[in-house]
Amino acid sequence: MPTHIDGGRSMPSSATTAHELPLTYNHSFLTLLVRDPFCVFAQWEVAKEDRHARGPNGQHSALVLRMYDVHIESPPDGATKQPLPITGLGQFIDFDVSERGSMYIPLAAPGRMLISAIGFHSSEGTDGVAAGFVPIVVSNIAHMPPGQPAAETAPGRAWGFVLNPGPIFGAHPITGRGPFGGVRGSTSSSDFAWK
Amino acid sequence: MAEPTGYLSIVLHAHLPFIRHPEHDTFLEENWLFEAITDCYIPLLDVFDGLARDGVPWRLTMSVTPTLAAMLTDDLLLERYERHIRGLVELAEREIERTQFDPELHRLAHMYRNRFAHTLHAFTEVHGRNVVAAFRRWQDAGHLEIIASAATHAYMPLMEPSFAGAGTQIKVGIEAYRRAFGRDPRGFWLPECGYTPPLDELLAENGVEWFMAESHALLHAMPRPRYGVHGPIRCPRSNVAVFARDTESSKQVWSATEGYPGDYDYRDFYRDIGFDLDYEYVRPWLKADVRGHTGVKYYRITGPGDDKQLYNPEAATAKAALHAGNFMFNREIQAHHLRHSMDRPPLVVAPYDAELFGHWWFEGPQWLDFLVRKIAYDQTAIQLVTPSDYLARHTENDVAQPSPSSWGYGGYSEVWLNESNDWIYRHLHAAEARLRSLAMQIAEPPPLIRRALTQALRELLLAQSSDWAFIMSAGTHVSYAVRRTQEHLDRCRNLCEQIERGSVDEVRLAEAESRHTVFKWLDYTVLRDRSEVIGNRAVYDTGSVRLATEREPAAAGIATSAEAPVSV
Repeated sequence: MPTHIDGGRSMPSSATTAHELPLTYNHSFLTLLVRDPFCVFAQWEVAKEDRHARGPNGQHSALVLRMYDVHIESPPDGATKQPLPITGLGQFIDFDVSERGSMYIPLAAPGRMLISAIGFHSSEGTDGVAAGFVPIVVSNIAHMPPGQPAAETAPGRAWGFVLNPGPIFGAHPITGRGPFGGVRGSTSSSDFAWK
Repeated sequence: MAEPTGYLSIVLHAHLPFIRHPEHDTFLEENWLFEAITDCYIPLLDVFDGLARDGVPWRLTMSVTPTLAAMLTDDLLLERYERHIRGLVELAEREIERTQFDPELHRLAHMYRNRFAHTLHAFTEVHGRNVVAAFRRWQDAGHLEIIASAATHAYMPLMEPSFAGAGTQIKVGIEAYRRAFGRDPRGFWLPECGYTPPLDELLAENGVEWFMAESHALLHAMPRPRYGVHGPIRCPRSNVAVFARDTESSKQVWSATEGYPGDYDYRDFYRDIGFDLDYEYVRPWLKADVRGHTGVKYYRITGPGDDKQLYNPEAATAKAALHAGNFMFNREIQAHHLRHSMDRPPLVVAPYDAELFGHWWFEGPQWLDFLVRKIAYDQTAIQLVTPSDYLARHTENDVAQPSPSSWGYGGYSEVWLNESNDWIYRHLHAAEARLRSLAMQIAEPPPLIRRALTQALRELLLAQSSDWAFIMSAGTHVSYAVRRTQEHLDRCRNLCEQIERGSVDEVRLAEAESRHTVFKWLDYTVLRDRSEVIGNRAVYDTGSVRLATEREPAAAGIATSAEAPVSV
């Protein structure tokens, strides 16, 4: 069984000032943006008609954001045209979400491939929808950075010496941007565990 | 030429966001450009001119981003800059008068008067008000390699997941480069060094041979590259080369504790007469009547406390020479050390914001001048090269997939994706999708619709600038960054609505066109360009995904973010 976690937050107030931006686009979407090797940002909206279209009970069920680990170790050459052989079908986490919102999801998933879907649980199959998780909208695939040096070195190659990075500070002298303070280590822990 | 022990590649990244407000007589944030011209770009050109005059061999790399190039060739901003620098000459004259009974301050006031007068002369007479052409001249002369960047410095790892928008940023950026520098670029500065696949493939599709990345793009690459950051890798799919920042040389310049710019003999950036002197006295030189930096600063860093001593230009120059020698010595040591474990000369890539040199680090251009001269004449171990020079000499390089990375705090996307700025992405992505959809639908629009489509694209590009998200995160000028993001998105949305209705408000369109003059040559059809990379990726990511469900539902037609069919 999946883990259920209350997640998400509503639209922030900073988006509403003199130039009003829409609160809704009346279009279903779910986007994953990778923040770092240990955190992915999800933003979504589920249009009413899409929710209703998924079945007669859809509008009465709580929405769930389901995050899957779909990592494959070595995509075959030319995999761009191949169906993804998802092997992590049993690995997912569920979050209870509203129809529109966003959330940061801390995950112990450096180097993994993630995909998520928003849908609802159907307790009984009706009108062509089987019982179980009924997805409404699917995200892009998020490729999490490895967060550490690869264990693998190309065969027959020596490892060149790399001087140890030290703490660096800096900001753009005018606008403030600039390089960061060194490579982030594997210090972040996950709040959630894959099922 | 004999092979050196090691190579050094200094990369100066010159960038400012597009800020132009014709609706106001003066505007606070326009000052960023004016300060950069005075403190950085003219002094850097002075360094280049001096090296050439003295016959010093030099090779440096520089980016001049499309938004910066656009501002540096904008008549209104140039006119305002000339007014600004003439004002500074006048201020320095007033300071000479005010400090006449204080010999030490008086000497410094003279230094500023001479400096500002020189800047005015160089800007108007030497460079004919065209700083971009001045940089281009040094590229054409074979000393400077200028590289391209994205159209408006968008942080591309967080763009709409199909990366079609990133493709547009790259295409427009490269076209801007061609128009500014009269050739195709070989290298590319990824804004904020933000890399994620498939950006390398999009760059390759546009003829780019190499790009700059943060250290762990290579240190965390798969498989592990044998030279670490001291040689480039080639991306497996695109064959584009990736050069990464050397942390040790970066630290010597950027570090808060060990970096050169914090030396006590160097000029203090924060003590400025715009804050120190009577408000009414300095008010004519303040922007929007708000206390701020005028550029006249009389003190040296002195130490960590507030008690500052007067700046001594000669001591600071001597320290810049010392630091240049130290930097060179450390690179020699580094080269000798690395050379023992490599089958070729190690490469040290040292990228910096160009605006560091002269603005925050007043003596930075002097340091660079000393460094280039010392490398030319005081040693033989290291050689200045550009990344393109390196690739010409070392054609075989490791093939590895670079890690997603950036040079922002944390090394990934945290600076541009946090609670202060994450609200922008749903709007940016929605605007991108809507406009692209319109562009694909309308093949031969009437002239007014075409103008509207193009202006909508211009607004979208401006909204995508990484600077706004950064500023929201940094907590300074936040309201301005929020307003710019909202304004551009709102205007893009309004134009899309008008286009969909088939009724464009020509007066408001003309007003928008005259306000944001960036990329006057832009045409919306760039949105229609097909990318094989993006086409393939859409299939890879969503087209054939089988969703994992507890029990698979029988119905089909699930919506996806990329609007690709999903079989369930």
